[in-house]
Amino acid sequence: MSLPEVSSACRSSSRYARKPDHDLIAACLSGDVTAWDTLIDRYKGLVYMLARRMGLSDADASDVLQEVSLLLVSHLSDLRDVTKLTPWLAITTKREAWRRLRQQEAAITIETIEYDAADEENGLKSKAAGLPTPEESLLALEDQALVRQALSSLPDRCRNLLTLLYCEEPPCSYAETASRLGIAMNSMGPNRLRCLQHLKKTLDAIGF
Amino acid sequence: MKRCPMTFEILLEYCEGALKATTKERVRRHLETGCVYCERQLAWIQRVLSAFQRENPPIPAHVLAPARTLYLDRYVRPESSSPLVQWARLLFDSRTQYTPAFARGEQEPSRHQIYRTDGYEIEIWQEMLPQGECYLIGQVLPRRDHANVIPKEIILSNSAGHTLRITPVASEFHLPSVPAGHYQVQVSLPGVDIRLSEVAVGL
Repeated sequence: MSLPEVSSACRSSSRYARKPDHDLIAACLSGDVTAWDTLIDRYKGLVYMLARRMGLSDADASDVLQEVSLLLVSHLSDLRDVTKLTPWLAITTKREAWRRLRQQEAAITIETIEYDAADEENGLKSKAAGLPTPEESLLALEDQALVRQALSSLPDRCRNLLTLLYCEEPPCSYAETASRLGIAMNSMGPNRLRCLQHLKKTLDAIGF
Repeated sequence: MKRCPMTFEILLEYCEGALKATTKERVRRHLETGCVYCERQLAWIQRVLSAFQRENPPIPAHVLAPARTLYLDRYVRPESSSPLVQWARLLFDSRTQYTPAFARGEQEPSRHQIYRTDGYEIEIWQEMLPQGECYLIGQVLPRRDHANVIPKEIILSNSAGHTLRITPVASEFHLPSVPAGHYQVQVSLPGVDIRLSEVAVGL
C-alpha cells in the first residue's frame, strides 16, 4: 500500500521531530545541519505569521523572517540553556517588525497597535476590535507549531489519517480517507479516536 | 476520578457538529452543569482542531538560504575546505607525578594523561596488557561547557608509518591493543583537527 500524498506542512522528515527545542539547539551547536533545518522548519511559520499580524506585507514579513533567522544563528550559543525558543523568537520578531513598521510609518499600524516599551516582554497591545491580539496570535501560532511537531512524530498510519482528515485543504471525508489509506469505513471512527488519543499523549509530553 | 458520562468521542463529535439533535441537546445540557472534566476535554479539542487549521504562509525558498549559509560557515565546515589544526599541549601525566610507589621502583599498570587546546581537553587512559600492548581509552571535552563530543575519527601514527584508525560511535573511544611506542595522535572534530605530538604509549 503506498502512502497517500500529504501536505508538506504535516510531513515528518527529520529524526529530530520529537526532540524539544533544547536538544535541537544542542545538536545545532554540534554542527548538525539536519537539526538546524528542523529548528527552522518548526518555527518559520510562527515568525512569518507574527510579522504579518503586526501589519507587514508578505514581502516585509519574509524580510523579517530572514533577519530573525540570521540573528538566531548569531545567538545560538546564547540560547543553549533555553527550554523553549518561542519567547526569544517572539521578542526578536516583534523588534524587527516594529523597526520595519517605524521605517515605513504605516498609518494603519500606528492607529491600531500601541507599543509600550515597558511592556515589551508582554508584547504589543492591539486596539483593532475583533482581531486577535498579538499575544493571542502568538499562542495560536505556538499551538500550531506544537501540533505540527506532535503530528510529525506519530506512527505513519496515524499521521496520515489525521493529516487527511484535518490538514488537507479541503479536508478529506471519512470515505475518501478510508479509501486512500485502505481502511474499512466502519473502522474509521475507532481509528480516528485512537490516533487522536495518541496525539494527545504526545502533546502532553511536549508541554501543550 | 472521572464520573462524567460523556466520552472523549462524544465531545469530539459535539465540537465537530456531527451529533444527532437529541444527543447534541443532551451534551449541551450536561455542559451547562459546569462539568470540569468536560470543560477541560472540550478546551483541548477546540485548541487542537484550531491548530490543525494551520496557515501555510507563502515563504519563498530563498528567504532562509542566507541563514543556512551562515550556519554552515559558523558551525559546519564544508568537507572540501581544510579544518583548523590545533596542537594540544600536555597538561597532566600521571607518570610524572611523584608517588611513593615510584620511589620503590614500582611501575604503574595504568597511566592517565590530559592534553589541552584553546577549546578542548583530551583525556587518555592507558592500561598495560600482558603482551606488551596497551588498551587506550579517551574522551574529548569542550572546555566551555564540558558536553561530550563524538570525534569523527581518531588516528594514531608512528615514525615507522604504522597507522591505527577508529571511527568512534560514542564520546568515549577505545583502542584495544596499541603496540608500545611513540605516536602522533590526530582527533578529528567538526571544523577542527586536534594533534597530539609524541604520545608515549606503554613506555
